[in-house]
Amino acid sequence: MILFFFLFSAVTVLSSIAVISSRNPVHSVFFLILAFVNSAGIFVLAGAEFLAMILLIVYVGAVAVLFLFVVMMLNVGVDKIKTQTRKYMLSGFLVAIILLFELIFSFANLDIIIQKPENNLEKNTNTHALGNVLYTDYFLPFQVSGCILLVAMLGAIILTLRKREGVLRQNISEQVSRTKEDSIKIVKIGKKL
Amino acid sequence: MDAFSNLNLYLPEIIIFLGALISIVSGAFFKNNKYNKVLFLSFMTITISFSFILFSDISNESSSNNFVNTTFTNIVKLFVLTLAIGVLYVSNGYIKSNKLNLFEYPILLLFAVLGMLLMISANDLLFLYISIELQSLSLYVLVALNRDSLKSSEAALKYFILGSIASAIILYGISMTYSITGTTNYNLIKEFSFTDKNTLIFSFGLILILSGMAFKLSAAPFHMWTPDVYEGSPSSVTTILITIPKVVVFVALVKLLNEPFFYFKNLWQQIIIIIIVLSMAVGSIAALRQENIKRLFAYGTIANIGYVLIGVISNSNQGLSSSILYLVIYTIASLGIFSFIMMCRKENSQVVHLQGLVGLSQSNSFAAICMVMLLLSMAGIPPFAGFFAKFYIFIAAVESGFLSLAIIGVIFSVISAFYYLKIIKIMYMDSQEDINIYEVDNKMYLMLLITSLVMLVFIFFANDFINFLNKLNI
Amino acid sequence: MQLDPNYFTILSAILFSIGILGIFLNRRSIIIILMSIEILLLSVNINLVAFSSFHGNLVGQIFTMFVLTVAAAEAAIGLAIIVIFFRNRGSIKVEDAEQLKG
Repeated sequence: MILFFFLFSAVTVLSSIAVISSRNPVHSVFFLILAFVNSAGIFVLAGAEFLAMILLIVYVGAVAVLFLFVVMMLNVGVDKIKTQTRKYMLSGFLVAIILLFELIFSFANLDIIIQKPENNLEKNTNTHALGNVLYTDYFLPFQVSGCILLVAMLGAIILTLRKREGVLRQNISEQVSRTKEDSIKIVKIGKKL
Repeated sequence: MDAFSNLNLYLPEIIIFLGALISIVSGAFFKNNKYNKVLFLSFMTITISFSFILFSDISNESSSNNFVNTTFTNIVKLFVLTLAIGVLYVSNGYIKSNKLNLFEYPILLLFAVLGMLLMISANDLLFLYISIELQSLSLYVLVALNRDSLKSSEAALKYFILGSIASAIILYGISMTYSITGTTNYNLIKEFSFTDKNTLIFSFGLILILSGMAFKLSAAPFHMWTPDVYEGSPSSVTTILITIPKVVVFVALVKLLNEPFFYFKNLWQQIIIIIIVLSMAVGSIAALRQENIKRLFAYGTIANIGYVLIGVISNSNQGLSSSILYLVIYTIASLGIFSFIMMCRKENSQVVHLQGLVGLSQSNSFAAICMVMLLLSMAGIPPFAGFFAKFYIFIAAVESGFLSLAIIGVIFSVISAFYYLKIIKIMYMDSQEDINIYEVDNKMYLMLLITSLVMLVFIFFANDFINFLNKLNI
Repeated sequence: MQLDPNYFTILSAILFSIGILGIFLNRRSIIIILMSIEILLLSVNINLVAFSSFHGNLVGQIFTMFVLTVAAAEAAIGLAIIVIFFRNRGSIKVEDAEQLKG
């Protein structure tokens, strides 16, 4: 277990150093992902399986992708990416391989990790125990965190959504309620020509 | 089932929450005039919540594990809601003339107010953190509301980055506290018996939490963001930033220091003394060379926070009540001053420089007189309210043995009187070259009138007010 | 076999200092600062989770869950602010945030 701990923590530390020192923001995001995956491993060692999964899903699945999306959308270091395509690919591969290697390694040794600290809650799984507390004692903060997410959504929409002129949009009700009278004009041809 | 059994405890907050949700949904469905309708809904929400607190027995003291209502918190909540109504009311004209009338503005304010109300009652570090974040995230978005302006977005960027660093620092402090005590509840932390070994980690956690909170209060040396953010954000949002969060964070800080960290008073007293002296010095001296009105009042805020904190270190309930008195007077005066700043327009744009106020006494003598009262009060000149605020603060400092602090405070308040008087000089003495056109907005006039009257007549109620505050168990 | 609590605290402290270092050394892009903030929150999470298991109560894990929620919300709003700053300024270099001074 100590071995695993040192493995995970060493990679976490090294990759967070890489996050702040790499020249290309895209590399930084990849190293951030690596750091999060490793700290998920540390969470498992500390007996918090549910949070480890949440960390993977929320951070790697959502936050890091959001970061990546914004980094790619703004032209941060675009010129660098063009000139250093090989380097970019190389580090991408490197991260992917390390990730895969560690995933296999940790899943293969799952039975070692399951040893929980003795004074942890009874026979319930970690997820059970968390749910029991979250929806009773911590119900109010839970609702407030819902508010926080709502504010984040609202804020992101207010700040970035803008209606541009000249973009063709669908207006379903208008399109459906078109009638022959107001869309076709029948012109008699012939007499005066 | 602690959370459900006493729903009454959270009812004012729940009302605000439901009101915000209703406003969002209806805002999306209204076809035209969205802003006015949502504004009306928000007014209704705040009023209902206000009257609920007011009529359901203010002295009702009830609590759960992580949420405590006392008479004092109820009164602070009433004050916060009043300020929120005042800010919404007064910023209406500004928002329309600067085309910021997005219907999300009142909704975000409602969410910020929700966070603030929760923060006032929080009795748990987890709860404190969550409510601080709800408040800050809403405020980050509000600062960035003028999204086509470079200044507004830059202010939002600075506020966001520094604010989230401060939150992270608070959080690390909380995690250190938790690592020792194994709990986040205020009462349990207070009862925890420390050994010599773990006192060090705990003190370090206290220092981290304290510096994060000082950031949120914009006290020096954590004030760097204040002038930039206040200058860059829309004036209506600056009005919010300069008034409501200060009261709330201060109340939360007092509770934090006097409950979980009560036995570490020797430590936090010293830190806060440093913060006080630095804040007064930075605020008073840096304001002298400011030409921008909002920047000037930003530095004024930093200095005022320094005075407010003097009450915290004094060993008595009296000190705290004089701090609260100071905060109340300071926020009311700031509300008046900023309703005036929002009113100043020249050639279709806001007046941002002090020189824009030249000749105000001729072009708008009513606003000039009100401003003189507010500024004299800010400068602490009798018989205006600001004098009593400073007076009680210094009395409290002297009584608890901080004579040198009181003397330093008097010196800096003389320095800061200089720049408040400078504004009056510009308004009255300087020769007028071009005529300023002021937007005649009755709402802002009304707010100016009310606030300056409060400053004027406070002399008759000063004694009663401080006695009332002293009786409250803060 | 139980891990020593000190391991976790040391790790968390190292991460926290890396995050702070990233904020202060970084002069290139604001997005890196946002990532450093995420590292700060991660270090807090490691601390909380570790002590949750050492104390044998779930407060730390619940706290971590809320920190994760808040961090996600913070990232969303922060990136939105960066996007509008970029639209107005045309760059997200740290030294380009210089309009407000004095």
